[in-house]
Amino acid sequence: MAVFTVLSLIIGTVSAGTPAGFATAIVKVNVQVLVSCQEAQHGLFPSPLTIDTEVAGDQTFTPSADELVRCTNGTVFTVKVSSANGTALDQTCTSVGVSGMALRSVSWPGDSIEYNFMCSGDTGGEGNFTGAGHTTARAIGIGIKVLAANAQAALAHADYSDTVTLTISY
Amino acid sequence: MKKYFVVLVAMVMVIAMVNGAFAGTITPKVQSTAVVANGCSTGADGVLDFGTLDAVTNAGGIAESALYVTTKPIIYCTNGSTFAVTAAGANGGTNVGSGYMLKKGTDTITYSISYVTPITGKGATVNVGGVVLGTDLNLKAGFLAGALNNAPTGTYTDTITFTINY
Repeated sequence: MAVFTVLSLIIGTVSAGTPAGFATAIVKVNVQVLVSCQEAQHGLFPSPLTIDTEVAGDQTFTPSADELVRCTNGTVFTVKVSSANGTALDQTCTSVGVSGMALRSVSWPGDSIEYNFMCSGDTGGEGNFTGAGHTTARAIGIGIKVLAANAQAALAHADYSDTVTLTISY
Repeated sequence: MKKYFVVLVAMVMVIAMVNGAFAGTITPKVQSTAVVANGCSTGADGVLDFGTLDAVTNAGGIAESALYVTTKPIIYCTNGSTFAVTAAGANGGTNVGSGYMLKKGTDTITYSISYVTPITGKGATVNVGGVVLGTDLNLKAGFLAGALNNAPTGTYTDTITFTINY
């Protein structure tokens, strides 16, 4: 009986000493990505813009630097426009243009020229822009249009100006 | 008469021998041996939660940190023994490195992890899946700069399986 017990112990020892395998531990990973937008380039128009009062048609001016925005890939955002010298306040900017914008003479504050501000980079003409991620800036396509009637009625001054505030909503 | 005496002596001797067997002590020794086998067991899943991030705020990436491991994986291993650990991400990536991916549909975000291998066991009741000692798993994770640049909004997930070999 004693001999048998000793043999059993030895067999057990050999079995336990053999590499048994492995254990696995699981770690669940998650992250929530939020929408974000940032201005990639400040929009700027040539200074000064020269408005010709003798031109029969509307006069359109393109920027020297377009407004560029980076937004989270796939995120739809809008651009609201306000004019410091006009009546436009947080108007949705589209390729059709926002009215209520005004250039005003600094030296003759009573003299102003109305104009439209356009954002031709929208999709569908409804003022919606789609973010392309933060490595690809989206061009807003800003532009100014002075209707022929407003240009022809303008008084000659060299100090018309306006400040346009763009608000990106997402 | 002489013959009778001899018989009596022999009988006394026999009795004495029997008595001696009852009064003495013996100390039998039974030798036993045991070997504690190396091994590990695991418990509840760990959680690595990066929280809410966005491409602007986190444009520069986030350094690898153990702070994002909000629930440490449970790993018990034989006290004093060391065990090699390997890792594999469900969406790609193995061991220490930056090839891991969080996924939301077909959208992905790359991240990296680091951890200690081998780990040193502390017995059946002390978790070595945490950061208490330098010999614990010490799992850390982070993002490289620009990792979120093209990621649409939403919740991204991944699962890392750590294998502790023994």
